[in-house]
Amino acid sequence: MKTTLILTAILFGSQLAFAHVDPKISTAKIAELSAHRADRLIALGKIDGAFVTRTEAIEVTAVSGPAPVAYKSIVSQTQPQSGQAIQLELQFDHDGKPLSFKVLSGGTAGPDMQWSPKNAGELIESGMHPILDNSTDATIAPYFKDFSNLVLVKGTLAGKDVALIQITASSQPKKLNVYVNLDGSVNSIAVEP
Amino acid sequence: MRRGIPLLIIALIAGALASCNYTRLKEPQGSGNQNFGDLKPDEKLSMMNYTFINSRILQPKCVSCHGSSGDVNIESYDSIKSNLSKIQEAVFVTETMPKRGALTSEEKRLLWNWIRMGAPRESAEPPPEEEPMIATYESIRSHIIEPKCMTCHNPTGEGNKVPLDRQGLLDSPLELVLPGNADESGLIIALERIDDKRMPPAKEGYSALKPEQIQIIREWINNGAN
Repeated sequence: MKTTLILTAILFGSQLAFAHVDPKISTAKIAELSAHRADRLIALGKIDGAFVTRTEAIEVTAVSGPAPVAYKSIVSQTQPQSGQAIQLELQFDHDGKPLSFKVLSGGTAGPDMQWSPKNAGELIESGMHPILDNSTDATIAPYFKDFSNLVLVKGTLAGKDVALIQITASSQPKKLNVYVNLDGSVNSIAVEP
Repeated sequence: MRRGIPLLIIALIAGALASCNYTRLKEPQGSGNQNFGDLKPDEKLSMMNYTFINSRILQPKCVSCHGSSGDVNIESYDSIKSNLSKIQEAVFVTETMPKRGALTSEEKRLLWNWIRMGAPRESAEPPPEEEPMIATYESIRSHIIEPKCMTCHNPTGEGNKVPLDRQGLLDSPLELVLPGNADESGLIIALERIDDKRMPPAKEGYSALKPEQIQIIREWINNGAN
C-alpha cells in the first residue's frame, strides 16, 4: 500500500513537473501570431496603427512562469503615428492564445520605410510562413525551433527592392535572410553569408 | 416440321430481346466505373438545374479563375455546355480542378449527377425554398462556410491552417470565435473589414457577406457559439 502511494505520488509529481515544459508551438509561430495580434488590436482600435505599418522587429522569449503565460513577445516599430517610439508587449499561453497586451515606452525611432503595397505586418506574416511550413527542412529547422527575434529592413535583390526579414536563432551563429517581394510573395531564403 | 419448332422458339426469344429498349446512362468519358453517389428523388427533380449548380458549386469554386480571362470560360450556361467534357475530365478524371481546394464529396455528387443528366438548364420541378439561415453553427456552415469558405479552408487548400469547423474556430490562437463577444471575434473582424484582408477575399472574386448574414453570425457568437 505504501509503495503504491509513493509510486502514485512520484507519477503525479512528475506529470506536474513536466506540465509547464510542454510547449505546443514554436517561438517562430509566436512571432507570426504576434504580427496577427498587432493587426487585431489595431482593428479593434486598441493600439497605435504604426504597429503594423511601421513594424521593425519582433522578439520572442519563452517564459518559465507564472502559468498560464508561456511566451512573451515585444513588437517594435520605427515610429508611432505621433510622439516617441513605443513597443508592444504581448503574452501568450502554450497554445499560442493571446493573454494580454501592454504598450511600453521605449524602442528606437527610425525612418518610416513606407512599405507598399503590403504593410510591414503583412510582410512579416508572409515571411514567416515558409519558416512555419518548412520546419523540418535542415536549413530552416533551427530557426523554426530556436527563433529568438526578427528584424524587417529594406533590401535589394537582383536590383529590385524587397523586404528583408533577418531571423536570429539562439542556436545559430548566423541569421537567416527571408527575402519577400513588396507584394507579399516570398522571393527566397538563405543563411546570411 | 419438328426441326422448325426449336428454330422458331430461338427466333422468338431473339426477337423479344431485340425489342427491349435498354439504355445505359453515359458515364463521363474516361471516368471508368467511378460513382460519386446517387441523387435522392427530390434532388433529381429540384436541384439538377444550372441555377442551383452554378450558385452552389461553379460560382464559389470555379468562376473566379474561369471567368472572361480564363482559358475555359464557365461564366454562362452556354459556355459550360460547350466545355462540359473538359469540366468532366478536369474534375472527375484527372482531378486537377478546382485548383484552389477540392470539391466536397457532396459537391462532387451533385455536379457528377448534373453532368450525367446532360447538364440540364431547368429542373423537372422548381427547387424547394431554401431554409433561412439561423444562428446555429450548422446553419451558418451550410449557408456560408460550405459555399463561400471551403474552397480555401479545406485540408488541402490555401487556407488549411485556419480550419472553420466549430471546434477549430473556438480553439484558434487567432481567436476567431470568442463566445459571447462577437465584437472582438476574429471571424467577425475578418468579415467586416474593408481592406484586402477581408473574408471572403475580393481578390478571389468573392463579394462581402450581406450585413444580415453577418448579424446572424454575430448572434450565434454572442449566444455562446454552441
